[in-house]
Amino acid sequence: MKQKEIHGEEEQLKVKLFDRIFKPQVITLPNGKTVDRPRSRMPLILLALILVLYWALQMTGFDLSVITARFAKMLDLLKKIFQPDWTFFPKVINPLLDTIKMSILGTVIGCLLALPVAILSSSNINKNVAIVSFFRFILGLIRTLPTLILAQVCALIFSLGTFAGTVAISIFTFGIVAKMLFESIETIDMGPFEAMEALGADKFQAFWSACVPQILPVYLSHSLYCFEMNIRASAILGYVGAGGLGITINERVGWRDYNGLGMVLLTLFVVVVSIEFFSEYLRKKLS
Amino acid sequence: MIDSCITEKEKSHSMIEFKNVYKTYPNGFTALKDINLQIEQGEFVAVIGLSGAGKSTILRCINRMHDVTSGTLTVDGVDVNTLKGKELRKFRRKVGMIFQSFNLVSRSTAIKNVLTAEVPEMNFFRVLFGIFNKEQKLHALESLDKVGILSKAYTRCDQLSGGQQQRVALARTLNQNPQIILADEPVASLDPIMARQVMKDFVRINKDYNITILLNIHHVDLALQYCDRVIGVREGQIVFDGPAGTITQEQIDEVYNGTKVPTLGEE
Ligand SMILES: Nc1ncnc2c1ncn2[C@@H]1O[C@H](COP(=O)(O)OP(=O)(O)OP(=O)(O)O)[C@@H](O)[C@H]1O
Ligand SMILES: [Mg+2]
Repeated sequence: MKQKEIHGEEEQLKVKLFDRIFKPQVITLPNGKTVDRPRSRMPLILLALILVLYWALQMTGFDLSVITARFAKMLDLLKKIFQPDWTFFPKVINPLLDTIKMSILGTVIGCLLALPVAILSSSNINKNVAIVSFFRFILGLIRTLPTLILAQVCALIFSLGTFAGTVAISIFTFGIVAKMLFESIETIDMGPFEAMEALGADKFQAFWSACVPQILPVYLSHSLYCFEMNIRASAILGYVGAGGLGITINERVGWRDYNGLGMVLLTLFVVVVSIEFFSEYLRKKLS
Repeated sequence: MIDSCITEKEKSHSMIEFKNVYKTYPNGFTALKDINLQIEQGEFVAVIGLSGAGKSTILRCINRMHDVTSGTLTVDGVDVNTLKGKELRKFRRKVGMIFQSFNLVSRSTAIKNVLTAEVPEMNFFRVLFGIFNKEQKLHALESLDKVGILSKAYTRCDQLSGGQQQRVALARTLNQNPQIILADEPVASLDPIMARQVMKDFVRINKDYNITILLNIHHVDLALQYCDRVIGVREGQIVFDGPAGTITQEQIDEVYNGTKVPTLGEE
């Protein structure tokens, strides 16, 4: 009770600071009662947004004239890409399979590792603050690494090829899924857990029967979502030598064979879209 | 059956007995002050009182979800405070608990929820893979039948009404064959009609299976109508304890407003 009051006062103080500058509008009812309507903060936020945008444009040297000048060249390139070289298709299959294999294996490994770590990082289940913060720190660290850099490092360590790509995807998946999962675990209903303890279950039994059924569908859904991302991401990993379609893409660009490139992109497009459809369907079923 | 015969003969101890029980929470707040209470096997007792009076605390001390600070609390002849680990869990098997918010796994089916009552007695691998044998499944279905929702056995709990969910919770509790049921505001989140139905379920269970029931409730009228005995709690102390039929309006006012010093503490 007391705490709530103090909290309320604090909030009022904060409000006053803004409202002292922008006086609230006073609305008077017919019966003479008045109510203060605080001024909207929206104009201030908009102003800040515009300033940031202006600053970004300045910094990146964004210039419309460059786009118009190169427009013809862009059209020419796009035209070629949209006329894929069908004879190139057989050469796409193997790297494509590599890419898919890499994503599947990487996703599975990453997700398997993510489950126990997510459980250990959930503050409602693991009461040990030190362990919780340790794992969250590690997860934060992993997520700051861009996938491409991760793949490059893996390619350096494990030499070029699909193995490096798989390791990179595993690490990436691990970071993302563990983070999404522990956030979901923290919102589960702990009531059933309490009920299990009250009927004589030990901590493991209570967790397994009361929490896991709630976590499992979320876990599978996150894993599928990450798999979608990985298919897209792993296509690019070949760029840094981690195997798969990326190598072919790099090669075609190098040869200026834009029709071939078109074929590669078309295949990738079809695969990505169908996997996304499939995964979305599964995820809907899970919820 | 044999159990009840022995307690009948011995008559040496009550089912639940509080002796000078105090409960102070870790933050220093004393929620129970000098509670003395005896509840016999098969009684159906309502605990009434304002929010924060200590009703939940009383229930949670009985199955040791909370520790008592001083005094002794014996349940079926066992000093609850001495129980630890495995013994405590075994003790909890015979004390069922019902919650205001049902505490079911809402995305599991009714029967799955009822089956979880078997988990404490199963080995690691059966728990891990959720393997229940035919006997257990039949037993769970029987428990659902006892509260009249056998037809909903394979329905997901989030598709059941509040009253039906509370019945599933009741079935889960019956499935552990308890001697005592503690119910913490079991009808607080139900509409008046469902609240009555669930109260009737409690009465039936109390009479048919001779299970001791202790329930917290905010609706005095329901308490008076369905329970045998009423205990009024105010600021951590018992201010009324007697048969539901004998409580007067003044005594109820006393439990809730407490204008006078209570005199009805002991009987
Ligand atoms: N874990 C806790 N730590 C500290 N104080 C607590 C704790 N749980 C309950 N209390 C306090 O103990 C007192 C009794 O709480 P209790 O939950 O038993 O009340 P209640 O009678 O069940 O109330 P309600 O009708 O609102 O459920 C309250 O003042 C409450 O603030
Ligand atoms: Mg309560």
